[in-house]
Amino acid sequence: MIVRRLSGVVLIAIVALVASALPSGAQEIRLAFTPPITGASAAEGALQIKALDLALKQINAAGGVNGKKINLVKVDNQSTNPGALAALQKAVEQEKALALVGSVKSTQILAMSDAVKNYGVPMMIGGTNATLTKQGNPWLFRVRPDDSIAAAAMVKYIKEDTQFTKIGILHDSDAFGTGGADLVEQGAKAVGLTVARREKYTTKEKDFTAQLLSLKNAGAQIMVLYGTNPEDVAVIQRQYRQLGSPFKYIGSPSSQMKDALNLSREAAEGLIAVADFVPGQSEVNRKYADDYKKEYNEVYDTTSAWAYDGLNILVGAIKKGGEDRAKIREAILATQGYKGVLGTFSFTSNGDGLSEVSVVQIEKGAPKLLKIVNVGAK
Amino acid sequence: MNPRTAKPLLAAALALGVVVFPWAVGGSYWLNLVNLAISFSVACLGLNIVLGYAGQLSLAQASFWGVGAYTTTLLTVKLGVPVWLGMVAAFLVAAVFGILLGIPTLKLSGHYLAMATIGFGIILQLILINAIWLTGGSDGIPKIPSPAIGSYELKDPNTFFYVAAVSLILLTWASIRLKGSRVGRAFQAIQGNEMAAETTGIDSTLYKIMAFALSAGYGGFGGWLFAHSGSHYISPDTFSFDQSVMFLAMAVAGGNGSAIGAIVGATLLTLVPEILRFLKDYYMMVYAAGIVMIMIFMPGGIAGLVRTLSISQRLRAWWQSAATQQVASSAAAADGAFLKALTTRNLNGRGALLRVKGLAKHFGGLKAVDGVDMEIRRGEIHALIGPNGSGKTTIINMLSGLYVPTAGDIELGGTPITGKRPHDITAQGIARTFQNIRLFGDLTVLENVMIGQHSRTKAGLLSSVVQPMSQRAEEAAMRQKALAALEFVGLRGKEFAEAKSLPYGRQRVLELARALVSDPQLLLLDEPAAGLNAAETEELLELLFQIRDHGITILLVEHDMSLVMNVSDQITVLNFGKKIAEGPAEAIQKDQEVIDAYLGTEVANA
Amino acid sequence: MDLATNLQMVTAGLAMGSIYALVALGFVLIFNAVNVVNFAQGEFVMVPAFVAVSIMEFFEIPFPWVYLVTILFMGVFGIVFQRIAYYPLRHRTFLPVVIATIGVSIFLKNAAQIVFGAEPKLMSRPTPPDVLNLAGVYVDPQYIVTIVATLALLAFQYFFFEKTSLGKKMQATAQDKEMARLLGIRVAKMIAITFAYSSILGAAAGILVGPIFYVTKEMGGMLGLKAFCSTIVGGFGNVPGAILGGIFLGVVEVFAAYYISSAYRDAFAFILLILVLLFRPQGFFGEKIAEKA
Repeated sequence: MIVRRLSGVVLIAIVALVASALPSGAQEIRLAFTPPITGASAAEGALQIKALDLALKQINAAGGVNGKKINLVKVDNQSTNPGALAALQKAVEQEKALALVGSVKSTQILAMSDAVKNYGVPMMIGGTNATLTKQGNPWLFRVRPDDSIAAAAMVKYIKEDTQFTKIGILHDSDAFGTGGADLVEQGAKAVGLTVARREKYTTKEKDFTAQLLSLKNAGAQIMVLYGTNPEDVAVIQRQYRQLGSPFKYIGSPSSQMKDALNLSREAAEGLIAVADFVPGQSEVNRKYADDYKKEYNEVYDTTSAWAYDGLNILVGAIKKGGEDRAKIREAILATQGYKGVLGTFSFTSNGDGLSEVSVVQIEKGAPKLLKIVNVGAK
Repeated sequence: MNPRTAKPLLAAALALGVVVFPWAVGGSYWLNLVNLAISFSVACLGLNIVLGYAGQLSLAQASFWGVGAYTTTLLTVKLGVPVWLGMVAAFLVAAVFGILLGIPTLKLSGHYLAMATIGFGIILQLILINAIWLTGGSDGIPKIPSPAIGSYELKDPNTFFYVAAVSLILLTWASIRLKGSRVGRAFQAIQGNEMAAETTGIDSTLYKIMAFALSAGYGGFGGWLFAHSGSHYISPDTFSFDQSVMFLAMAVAGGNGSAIGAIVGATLLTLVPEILRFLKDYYMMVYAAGIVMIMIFMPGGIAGLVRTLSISQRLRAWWQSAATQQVASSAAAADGAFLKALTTRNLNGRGALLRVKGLAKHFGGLKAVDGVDMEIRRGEIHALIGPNGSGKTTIINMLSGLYVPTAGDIELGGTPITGKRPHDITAQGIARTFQNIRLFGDLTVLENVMIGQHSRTKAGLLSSVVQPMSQRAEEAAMRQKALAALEFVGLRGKEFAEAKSLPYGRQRVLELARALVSDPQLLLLDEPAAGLNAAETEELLELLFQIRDHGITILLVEHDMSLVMNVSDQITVLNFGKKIAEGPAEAIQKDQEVIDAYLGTEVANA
Repeated sequence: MDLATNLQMVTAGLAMGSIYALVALGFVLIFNAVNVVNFAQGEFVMVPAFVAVSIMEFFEIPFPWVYLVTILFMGVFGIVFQRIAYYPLRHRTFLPVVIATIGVSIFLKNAAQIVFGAEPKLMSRPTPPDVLNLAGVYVDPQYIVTIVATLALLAFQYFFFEKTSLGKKMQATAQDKEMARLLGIRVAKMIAITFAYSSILGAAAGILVGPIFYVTKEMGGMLGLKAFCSTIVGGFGNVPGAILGGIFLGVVEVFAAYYISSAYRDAFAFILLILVLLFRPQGFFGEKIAEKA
């Protein structure tokens, strides 16, 4: 009796062992995504997942890659740096992901960077900190215009399209805000604009009266806002209007983010911002808007569209290079002139895909394109 | 097998386990998590010292963790300092910050202390974010080097694990050793009853600061482990109030006061979210609900739960059998001549021991004591009586240093002690008991009496952990003396009982024993007979006579008049903060003013 | 340094301060009644805000009804909360209770995300959106409503506690439970009512502040901590102290942010807290309490 029981167990064990030794994903290609599903950035994570799921659906409906379906595993990074690293490791070691779509937060990307390099796994990122692609990590591929482009565009717009000479800067004290503000300050000084005053706030701040008054009293003619969270930006826009719009306003991409506009409503009317792109500026773009609306019955969010492009570019590279990480890498870098939602992608040797941004103006609650600024590939 | 042979076997097994562990687990994912859990565990061990041992609620542990991480990062990345030196620096700098937090918050406790530590933590994080010139701001600092042995860098989680595991084992061992030592007992006394701790000779200021410094140092060490592993990258958003809350939850879930508990709590709460990933966005809710459940149903945390299991009680008894044997052998050496063994000071001599001149204490407009002169002669039992509110306890509090007199002088054997802190006064030779018993309830009877010897012993922080021969000898002597004291008051056989489990009368004599082992010249007893029945009062009388005959002077506050009249050589009577009569018992009984104010005619005619 | 700027900041400070005062009041009431520091007090503001927004999203009913339903909801919420988080722990030391309330706080934040979604929400405002210009100072009508509502609540509270029998019973319970019990007061009921009332104060804060700052699951966190600071600054356990402390903190914060440093704005609340704890631990209005030897 016991012998029979035991041999049954042994048999099951052998089968299990053999099964696990089989190459995983024999009929599918496994990719992973490490968004914040829980924690402080959960809201953004949810939007990114929506964009990705749409792309995934379309890719698989079109046959996947050479008949193989794409399985996109989502591993929560808990909105923290250690969480991001753990998510990456789980995705690569346990879920055996071939490649990843990573994070939009620069600090999390930095946390994952060394591990990505050690694994040698391609990762598409949405973080905009300019240094990310200059760290000597050949496996990061950025599918958004980085901050230096956005900052340069803002400075260029102020210098060429307005008569203002004194600017004020208000920024979030986090990595994104500080980095962007630094770039704007450097760029402004380089073209002869004066930075009358620079103020900052801690993320999730509630009252900006002090900062706005300070910029006003310093004589700023236009304020550059580098904010991260949509609700913070919305409050700033509101309070800025309530103080009588004491200067003009130009903001970083969060200023025209869907979540922010939903909150600030009429306060945002007429404000200028820099955006990765503008809805409707290209055909791909319009199609995405339609598809998104059909799928989710709402307008898509512009700051999470990078994930859509990221997955598409990645899958395109897999189609070209096969399931070999090094070849995938080469294929991504070879991607030139790819028309995505965010614009036309042409990858530079250090992994940057986009070098242009749009300057937009908010009209009736939606961003309207004023001009596209291309500051050249690096 | 007895514990003595078991210990080296256990150590060998542990060592083997550590060496084999990375190979058994395999893969960076789990090892990275284990290293993270170890870093958290070290931080929790630190929290366990300040909160579990010393009872100070600190919600800033993540800040010290961060200070350690930033210290080592700045030194190793910006200045090229070797990583091992960074480790020492992380510990020390964090400890300094712990002192910085400890000093201003000394007078705070409970919620106030918690809020102050929260504030400290938030301010520190804001500095990390905004002092960009120093910390690099929100961008953080990447590319933190790994520790190296010679030219071999411990880069992988597998190899770093050894550093982490060895550190954890050493720090845990130190924590456990600390708990049972003189310093550890001082911490626990402060948690048990800070006022009593002071009058037992413990400088609560010094020890609280020490607890903060030590716990911060541990936190800093944990930060060092964190910085040089995992992402090799740190940024300010990791070192937040939420993280401090996490550490607190880990320490309490594991079991407050237990070093192993802290490690279990940290490990569980690190790994469980990973295991709970399948719950997706529900996992944080489940986790939080779990914490609430633990608080409601398992307040002692996991360690508390384990302790109640019968198998663990048997294990404990077996493990402690070595210690119990020590106690038994010490007891054999102790004999009934406790009082002779007690004294190291010269109790001979005549004349005034304590002189009080013009002593006054005003609380705003209330004059509790209003100009009292008193002299207590050596070798006498001197009683202080009077109606409620006449100032008796206030005088005792001034004599023992708990209150600073508003006016007047106090001299002990010619040396002024006015306004000195209680632990100094205890060192000088005054010990006291309290009106509403102040024992260290959760500690054992033996520990209570050993704490009483604090002012007569020396072992400091280092000796308490390292435990050289001199410290062991001191501990043995303390045990012996404690046992003799327990024998004297009739509490032999109850050494390992929890103090709070004793019946009321026994608790009173325990407090007396605790006071006696500090080798006092003068014993202040505040209503020692309160709540005692007739038989117990008789026994107390006997003890007081023996103590007096030995040469220790006693000042006694009492309401039990038969006891007072029987036992006192001199009586001072107070009313409304002033002395209204003084003299031997017969004189006081006949004093009209005393009769009117307090005694009534029955006692006068007794 | 001009008058207009300073007045503008005073206005903003008073509005923030009123919110701190309301939340601080909720804190103090619970603390006085059961000696518990409720670390979930900030979520007492967040939950009703979400509830109100959701009602507004799904139903087209006038504001007063929305507010009424929200308030009733929070009353029940308070009773449930104390049954789960306080009642089982009522005989323990303060540490398990502190941790339990922290656990509930985390639970509520994540539950809110699951139930209401992760995006921040806009709460419609009952007041017109146009800003008033009073002598050069721009005032959002919602701020005025906030300040006035807070004052009204305080007046109501004074009346309730001092002049009604139920209010006096609640005070008695807060001061001496044993005695109250001996006098025939249903202590458990009084405690439940205290928690309910404190939650209703949270509801008021949530409704007032939702249109100004939007509704997110994190909105309660720092608010709760700063309200706690206010109570200590004003005098812990002291009702007028909590209110004045909150207003004081609100105003000081704005001025410090302007004149000293905007980045360290949050720090000032805690620096003030630490200074008060060091030099005047009973707060500005509290009483010194000494331990009896």
